Amino acid sequence: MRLNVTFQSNNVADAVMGALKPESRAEVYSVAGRAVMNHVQRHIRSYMRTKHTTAHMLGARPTGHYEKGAAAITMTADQSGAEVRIPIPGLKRAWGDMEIRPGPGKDFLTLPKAAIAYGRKVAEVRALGWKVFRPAAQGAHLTQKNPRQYSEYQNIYLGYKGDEAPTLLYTLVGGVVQRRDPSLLPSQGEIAETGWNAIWKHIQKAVAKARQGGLK
Amino acid sequence: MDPAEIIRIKDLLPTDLGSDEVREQLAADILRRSIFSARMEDLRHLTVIRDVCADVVSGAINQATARERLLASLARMGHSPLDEGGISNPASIKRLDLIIDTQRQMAASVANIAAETPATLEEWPAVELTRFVGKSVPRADWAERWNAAGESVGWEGAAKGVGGFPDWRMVALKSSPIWQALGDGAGGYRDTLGNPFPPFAYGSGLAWADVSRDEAIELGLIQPDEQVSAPAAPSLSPSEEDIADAVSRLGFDDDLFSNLAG
Repeated sequence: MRLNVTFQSNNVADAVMGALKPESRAEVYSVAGRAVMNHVQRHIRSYMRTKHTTAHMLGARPTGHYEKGAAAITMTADQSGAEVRIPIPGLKRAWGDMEIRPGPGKDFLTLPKAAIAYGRKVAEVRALGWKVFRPAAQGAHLTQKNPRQYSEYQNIYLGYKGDEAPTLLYTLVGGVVQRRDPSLLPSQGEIAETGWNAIWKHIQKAVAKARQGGLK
Repeated sequence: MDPAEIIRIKDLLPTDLGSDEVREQLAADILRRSIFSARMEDLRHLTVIRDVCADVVSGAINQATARERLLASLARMGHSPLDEGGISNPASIKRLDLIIDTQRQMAASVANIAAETPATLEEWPAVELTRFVGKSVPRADWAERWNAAGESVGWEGAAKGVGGFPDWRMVALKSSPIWQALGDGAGGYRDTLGNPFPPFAYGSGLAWADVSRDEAIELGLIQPDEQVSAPAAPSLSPSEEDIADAVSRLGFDDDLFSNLAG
């Protein structure tokens, strides 16, 4: 996810920014970008301490999805602004509902229902030695005219390993809507304010430093 | 610099060396610029690793999809996670996660170092090495590693650890040589990557978080600037000089700055 850092402003800052050389403007934006990056990183780290509900419910280890992404947040700045990059798929639902559909060539999404399935695709579970299958629905034998019709199968994947009894691994759904979770990210207003505060502080500091040293 | 681009421009380095031999025989800067995997000579698979890792760092795919793609590539070569050999099995899940995690964190670290400017260094002159990712068995020797690295560079620009586990803090200036010492395994640690940036050891869940100027002063890493600086005039970075020039040209005075809320 990429956040373009937008700012509030005031007339003085606008005039100063407009009068700067492009490379200086990029440097000022780098301060704003870094401030936003640090703020978002702190926010996600604090958010993740309260999560992992599904993993704990299934007795699985958390995947580190948010944690690893938070550690890898980066930012770039140029003369036109700053951009913060957050390598966490699905983070957009911080700002709105997010509909997830199966990828190309797939008919279903898999929702994990067992620890072995959590954070893993079916192919990986199979590669780990599990036999994974979709059981036929009750009465499926009566509708053999359309043997590939999905309604003849239950929308679940069962699996077993070795001599164990089959267990529920996944439920299959045509799509899901992940409801908006504003706690995932700081609000856009908060992000803009963080960037702006950093810019204004930097300008004030440079002016104070120059005047104190009698440089300008 | 885009972290995905950092990965995409890496060279492919097929090798029949094991991880210890790679570390001993290949220079860290070659490894830093390469995609490699111990005892992996298949260029096609290294290309898949590079593409997958670039997609992970850009946030296009998650770790499960990344592993699925790597496993598909390895299956074509006859490898399975069920093969014996533990971490030396190229298809072991632990090894796949290790490759993805290492490449993601390295690319992010390099991108963030490249994005530093004199102004960001002024605001955040230090970093703290801190735990981002929980581990079932975290390394318990970070305090010892920090001490060994600190001692090896005379604690130049680095704070001796404060507090006890798990609140032990490892903070140093971004310019401190302690980071290279930590990456080189000062103290005899053999699981490091030779880089002056995270990850400092294979499978480590520790990464950098910026530390503000105020906190760096509080920790004794730097001196407060204007108030305690020597009689010499404070120096300005190029952008600070440009800001001061602009303010001067525009005729803005001190009152205007103090009266405007930030």
